[in-house]
Amino acid sequence: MAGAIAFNPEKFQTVFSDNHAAVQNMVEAMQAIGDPREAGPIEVMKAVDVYIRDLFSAVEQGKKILWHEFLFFPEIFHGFPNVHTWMTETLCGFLPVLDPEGLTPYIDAAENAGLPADVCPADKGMLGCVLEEIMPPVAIACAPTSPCDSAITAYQILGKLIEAPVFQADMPYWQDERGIELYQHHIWKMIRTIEEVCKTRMDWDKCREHIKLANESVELFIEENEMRKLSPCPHPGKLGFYQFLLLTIASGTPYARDVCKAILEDSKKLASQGKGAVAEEKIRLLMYNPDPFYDVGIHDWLEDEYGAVTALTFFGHATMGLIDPTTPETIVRDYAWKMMNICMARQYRGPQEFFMDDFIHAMENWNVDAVIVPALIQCKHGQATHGFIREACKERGKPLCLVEFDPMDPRPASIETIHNTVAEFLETQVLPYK
Amino acid sequence: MAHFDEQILAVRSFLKARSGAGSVPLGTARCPGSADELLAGLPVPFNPTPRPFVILKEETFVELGNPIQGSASMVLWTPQAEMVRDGVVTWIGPDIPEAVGQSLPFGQVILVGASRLEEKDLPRLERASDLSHRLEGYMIRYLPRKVWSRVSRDAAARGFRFETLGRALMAHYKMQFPVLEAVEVLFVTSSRADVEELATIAREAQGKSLSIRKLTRSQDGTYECEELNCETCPEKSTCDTIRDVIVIRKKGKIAGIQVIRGPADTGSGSQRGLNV
Repeated sequence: MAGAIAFNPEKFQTVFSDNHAAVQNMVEAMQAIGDPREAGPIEVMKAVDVYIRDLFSAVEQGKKILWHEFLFFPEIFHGFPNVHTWMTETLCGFLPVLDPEGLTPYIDAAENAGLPADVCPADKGMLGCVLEEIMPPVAIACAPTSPCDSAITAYQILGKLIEAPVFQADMPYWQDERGIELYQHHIWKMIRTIEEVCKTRMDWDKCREHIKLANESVELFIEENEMRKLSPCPHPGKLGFYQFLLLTIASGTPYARDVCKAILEDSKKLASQGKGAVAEEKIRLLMYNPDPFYDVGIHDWLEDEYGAVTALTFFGHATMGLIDPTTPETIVRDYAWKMMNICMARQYRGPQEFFMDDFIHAMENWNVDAVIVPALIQCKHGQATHGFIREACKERGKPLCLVEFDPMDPRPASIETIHNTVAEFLETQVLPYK
Repeated sequence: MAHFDEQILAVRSFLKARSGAGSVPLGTARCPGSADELLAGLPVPFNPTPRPFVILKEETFVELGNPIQGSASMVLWTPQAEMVRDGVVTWIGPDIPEAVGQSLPFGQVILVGASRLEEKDLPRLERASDLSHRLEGYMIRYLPRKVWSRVSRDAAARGFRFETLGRALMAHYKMQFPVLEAVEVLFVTSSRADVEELATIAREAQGKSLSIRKLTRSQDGTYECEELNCETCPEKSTCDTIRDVIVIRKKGKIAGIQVIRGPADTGSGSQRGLNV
């Protein structure tokens, strides 16, 4: 194909070194501020520091780098010797956290290249990073056909832009025996393709060790979920966002497991002291769709201004299961099932019940007073849930705020606009009735 | 309305096979009928309005349904209430007091008989199997069509057993759905294989439960339409869209993407375009 985009070592080093420094500065700043709510995010960002360092080493050593979509957790890929993993949407996730406009140049690059504006910013951002030649080298890119059509198309476009092969595993519609069989079949095919392309062979013993670490992380994540049911909620609303992003990049690593452990220990300590994210918890919220990446601090603002803690977020909802590490067959089967049940992959396919069951369960079990649903502008299937969400909230007497914004680009709806919308909601629909 | 007579019969066969096995412990309790009677004398409180609590790992007496051990959960409704033995709780495998410190495979089957239920009640019927925090000392970790739960040491010390859990579930259902004529509960902790057999039945039930209005999904995965007149069918727009997509797919994929380097007006420089 004419004009395939090759790895640009200079651009990669420049951008990644800058952002690596930004991550380290962020950690130092949060530590200096000393807000106890930052304990978990600090540990996550320290892990991101490790992740970037490992990437630099891998590039230096000329390792084969496997790009995986954020809904393919990397534990299974760690079983391939001499293959290093890179979560393709990493920059989309962390650039807006470091700088609200951090991803916008790459979103613009993708739109200027012809991508429609109403495509998900995760996909625009990813393709923009590729077009701008800042991504690490790639031997193979792997993605499921989830969470949505936007992602499916983005990886098809990616396949035309890079020389490396792109493998897409077909995520089934249903959560049934046929679906699991289909997905297992695709995961096996993916494993064989990686072996061929990267000239390697899956080491199942090595894989098993990473699967066990991933299982530990999931159990700890689920336990943290349960701690959040307590009142006062021990940890701040933004933690779920950070913890989920950590698992997308580093599930199956010792340091991700250690971060999850530290988070839970901190949660237990706070709970035993009767302490929470806010001194006086007045409102418990459910935020059930992706947080604004450039304003994860919205949770801090809610806590400080209104004593409103987000008891559970969409990213923070631990819906995935465990993987039986006994044999290669059980690993692949249960990895398939786990990937079918990570947030977004699970709720944004199949019938609406898949989303609504989880939404109602979250609403009923985390003892929330009100619901905020980020009505992501480009997310068509998300928009389609709004009618059902309204009905479910009405049935349960929970005030609902649907707030429209772009999750990774602050320009369509500014931080101020989002805050004003939420503030008006709390002041008129929630607080007067508390 | 979808009903699950076939799956109920499958569960009965499963029960019968295990009853004859002899080596597998099996217990039955026949409990009184009304919700109040079911809740009377429970060793732990039942709170109709759930109050969140957490059972930490170190406080756990027994874990049930860890996905690695095996877990399955289903609610099966029938309009023929006589198919359901009201008030009966059955458990196959070790009961809770015998399982200290263990992580057991866990299957939970709730059979419901009601001739006056409506289709709109079915999702609520399924959701009601999650007791949430209503039963003190019993914490559920939610997974779809599975139950992963913990019984606290404190609850076990007070005498929590499967009969307790069964009575709480039956009472909860009767309070939530006054039209129910019969509720029966089965718990399985005997082996992973047994729980997986139940999981297979659960998946069949799930498939039925999610049947699309006006369309039924057959065994081989195809959908059969029951509506005779497309013009009046509410699913017409869906069918039309599917036909359009099939036509597009049959015409073939995108031919290719040409990357043009340089600004759009001069044809040189570093700008790219996607020509599809």
